[in-house]
Amino acid sequence: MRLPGFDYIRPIKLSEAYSTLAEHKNEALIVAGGTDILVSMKQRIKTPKYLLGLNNIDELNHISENGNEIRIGAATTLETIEKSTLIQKHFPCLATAAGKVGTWQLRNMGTIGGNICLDTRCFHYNQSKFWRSTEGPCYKLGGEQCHIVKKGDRCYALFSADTVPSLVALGASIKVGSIKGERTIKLEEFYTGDGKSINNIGGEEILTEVSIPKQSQSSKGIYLKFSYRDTFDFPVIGVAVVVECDRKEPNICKKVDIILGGVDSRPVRIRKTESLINGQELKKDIIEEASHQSTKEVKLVSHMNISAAYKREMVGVLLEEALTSLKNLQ
Amino acid sequence: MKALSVIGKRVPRIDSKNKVLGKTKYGVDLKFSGMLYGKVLRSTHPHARILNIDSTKAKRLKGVRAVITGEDTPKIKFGSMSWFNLPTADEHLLAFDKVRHIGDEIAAVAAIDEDTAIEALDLIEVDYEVLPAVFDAEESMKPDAPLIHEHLDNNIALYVPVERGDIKRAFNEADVIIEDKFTTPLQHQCHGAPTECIAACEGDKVTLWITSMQPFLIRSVLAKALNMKEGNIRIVNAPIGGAFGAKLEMQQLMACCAILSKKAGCPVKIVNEREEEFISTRPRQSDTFYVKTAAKNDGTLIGRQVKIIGNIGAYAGLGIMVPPAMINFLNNLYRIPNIKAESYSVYTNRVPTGAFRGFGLPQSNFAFEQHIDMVAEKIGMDPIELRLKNVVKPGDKTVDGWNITTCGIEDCLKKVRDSIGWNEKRKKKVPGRGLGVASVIFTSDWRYTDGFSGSVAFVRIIEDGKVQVRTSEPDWGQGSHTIYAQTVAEELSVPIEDVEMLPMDSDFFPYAAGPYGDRLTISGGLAVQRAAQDAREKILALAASELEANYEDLELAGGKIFVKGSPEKALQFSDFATYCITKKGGSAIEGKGQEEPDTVYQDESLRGNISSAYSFSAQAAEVEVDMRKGKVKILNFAAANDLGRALNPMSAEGQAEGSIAQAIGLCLGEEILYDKKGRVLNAGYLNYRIPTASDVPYIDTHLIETEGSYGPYGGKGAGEPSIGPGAAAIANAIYDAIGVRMKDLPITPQKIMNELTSQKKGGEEK
Repeated sequence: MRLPGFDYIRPIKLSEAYSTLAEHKNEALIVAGGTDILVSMKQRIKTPKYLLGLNNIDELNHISENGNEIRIGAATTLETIEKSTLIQKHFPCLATAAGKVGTWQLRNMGTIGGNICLDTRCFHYNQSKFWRSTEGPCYKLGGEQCHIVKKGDRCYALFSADTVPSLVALGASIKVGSIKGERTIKLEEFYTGDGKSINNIGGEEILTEVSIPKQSQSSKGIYLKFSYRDTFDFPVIGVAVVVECDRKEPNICKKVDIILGGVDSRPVRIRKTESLINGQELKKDIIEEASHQSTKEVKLVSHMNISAAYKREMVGVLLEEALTSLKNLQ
Repeated sequence: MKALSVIGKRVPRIDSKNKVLGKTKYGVDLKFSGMLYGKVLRSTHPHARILNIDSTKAKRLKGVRAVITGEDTPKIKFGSMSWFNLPTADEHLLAFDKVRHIGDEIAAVAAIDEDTAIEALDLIEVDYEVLPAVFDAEESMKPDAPLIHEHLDNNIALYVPVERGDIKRAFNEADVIIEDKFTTPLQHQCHGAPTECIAACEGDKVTLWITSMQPFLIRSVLAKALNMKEGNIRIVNAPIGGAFGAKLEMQQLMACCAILSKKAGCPVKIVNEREEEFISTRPRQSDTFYVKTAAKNDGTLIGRQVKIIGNIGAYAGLGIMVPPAMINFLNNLYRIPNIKAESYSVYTNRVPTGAFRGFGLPQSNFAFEQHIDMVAEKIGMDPIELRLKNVVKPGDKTVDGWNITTCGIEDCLKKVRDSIGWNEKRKKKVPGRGLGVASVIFTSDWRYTDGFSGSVAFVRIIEDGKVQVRTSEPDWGQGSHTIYAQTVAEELSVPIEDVEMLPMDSDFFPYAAGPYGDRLTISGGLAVQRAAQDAREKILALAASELEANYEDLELAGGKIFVKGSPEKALQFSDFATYCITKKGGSAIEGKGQEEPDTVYQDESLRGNISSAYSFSAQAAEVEVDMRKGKVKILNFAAANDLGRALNPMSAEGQAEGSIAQAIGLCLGEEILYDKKGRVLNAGYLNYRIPTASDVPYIDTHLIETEGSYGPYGGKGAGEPSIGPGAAAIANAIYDAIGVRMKDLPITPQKIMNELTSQKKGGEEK
């Protein structure tokens, strides 16, 4: 498939990028690795007049330690993050997640910023123009209907970014900026829950940085991805779990963060399941109870040939595996 | 076996270096000056009457040079099987009255670039009267189903009943009877390079640069569809980027290129998008099998009854012949005297189907070979022992009249048994792990017509002793041309580097019947071997007079021609080749070889010795099933292939391993998914899951040599049998691992979990 025509703008300074975006705000889209947007453009889902490339802006490509947090520039590739000793040391679950994205080739191109801003996916949406012409437009394509959930009042496209569940579980924040200034948002609050609008970044804004607080000594995390194919696949379900244990009683789980990917239009925190674990020792019965609770708590719809019932079952299985691994992890 | 110097050696493919370096110019890489780019307008409805097509706006678009619809075509119906003497012409070049599947071709445009051509497609307005559509083959067989082709009374394109022996008696005398239903999906060939064509018209003649497995079939069908003389169509076959059966048939885009080129007065190129490959080229059909097997308690198979329902899609293509071919695969692997088989080739409003490596072998084997394991379990016999007890043996004449000459199936079964550690592992069962086996028979050098079903080749010795070979039997990556070059190097005692396989051009090349049923090793190979031998005889005859010696006393070895025993008085082969051309009255040495196999065209009830030889394969898999997610991991895989003689072991192993990767895909992940509206949901490589390197295990491949085959140096076909057993072997291993019989391909994790859940429920109820 061929790309539609567009002008490519490649600033070398962030300030330049801000002003360019302000100038063309409704006609420009941002590209870093291009592994998501270029496919959408080929399918004519998106046809921007300008593409603003971030790859030449050095300010956006770094992994640095800053007091109690680690900062990652938005244009840092997933491959760099996976291999970073700093990330591996402080956030092994993020290194794992970065290494689970797509294929090696895609990880060499794709960036953390791109993964955070990944478009939601649906088999009625990620299709060619020819295919889409066989039905009326859905919410995500400017229509007034959802083909997945009949009479649904919003878009149910799936959020499937591999790195985001870990980032949210680790309490990451992101920095977005524009010509008007910068703001910091808790990543968990970034997503709208609607498959169409996805997140609340403004048309003039650029995601510039992720910062992740260093975890306490008694904290540990894991990311498990279940996909049909071992590489080159989006997750059927992705589960990130970060537990903080009690310093005096290391068997007791003081606080747990459980974030799921691939289940809804945003990363999903399962609160009732978390509260079952908080203050408890990670024992077999608690783990089983939590796993069972997670299957009751999660809301799902069927996509393509993977049923909601199967996905629900997999949430429980993955969570049980994740918690068991953490229990055994010293 | 006779010791040979080039044949039987692990010779690297002659085309591999350029391919690895990215230097090969495939069909898609070709460009001509003044060339236009074409695109095809396709139906967005699975079944509809065309009321009106308005292309006025498209014609007016700047940069558009030609727009064609059905009105610009001869409106002659054609079909690939007409080449095989079957009256199945049911396709038009461009639909003008009715469309029969989403993707059906309606119009085509040629423009100065692809973007303009795509823009022009959007400007063509088609008015449809939407008709009810049917996608399921069994639904389509019902009397009230929408009729897809008006020249028939129902949607059954072909019905073939076959009876051998007395099936009723077999079931009466049986100790064990097993009955089941199996289903298999549409599987795409997923060749790397998409289907493409460039056509250029000059006067009455048109030249097409295509990438085809069968240029002469394409020329013949094109001539009919375009209402032209075959001699006015020149085909140049460019290097092919994978085919696996997909590039056998004439595709509408080729004829569109020719008509557009005639209209625009420039060469026109059309390349399919990947999505178009999925919705308009010819994948492996989806089939339903009703299988009933009868056996005695001692493991003797005495009867089989099958009903095969093939969903061939909207047009007959080559797919119409797949269901009957599967009956042959059923009838001839084991000595089963009583058989009742019926095949239905059924039209639906889905993508037309065609040939894909094995021609029905892997999907039918999935059904037939699981049943063998089910019999074995019921009577308490080892599945390999049961197979060994029943397989055909050398010298057999099967129920279909196949003469089994060389046959290594017993060795194949024993080899995979040892390789995978069958006996030891079955004694020490590990929960969640299992072993499975399956075996196949396949034709090697199939005769598919009562006309010429052989091959012709020319070998020319040119200046400096270089040798050029002309055969129209193609190489689409499977290595046939390397084998041919080895053959010529062997016969003429020249280095393989001095042998050049010329690019096929129908104006200068001899006719070839094509690769069906693994023909290229035997028919293609014998023709090349004989052409080389002819050239050898001719150059030695000339040398005899030059050396004033008897022809019989001459020897050709090490680049020299000399009288046996006195190598000191020798002619240099290279110098002498030049001399033959440049001496007074000279001419290059031209060798000609022909092979026409001594086989028969099968009768209506599928009887007759249709192939010069038969090849065999057995494979064993060891799997581990994640009982909580349903995911299958293949731990070990062993393959053994009886190929007569391994003409190039490295190449033959590659053929086996590539086949097995495709079989793993068919078994565990690949499926063209249709929705209720007749749309393909996953026309791309993200959601159509072919296995990646991380999904395919190490494969322990064994080549079983069986002396005495009719083929060159005793070789038999090695390209297709290896795709046969994989899916069945894995499914048998899954059953061994978790006690659940998976009867619907592909075996996805979700399906395994569903089966495990219902098994658990069933257990609780009991």
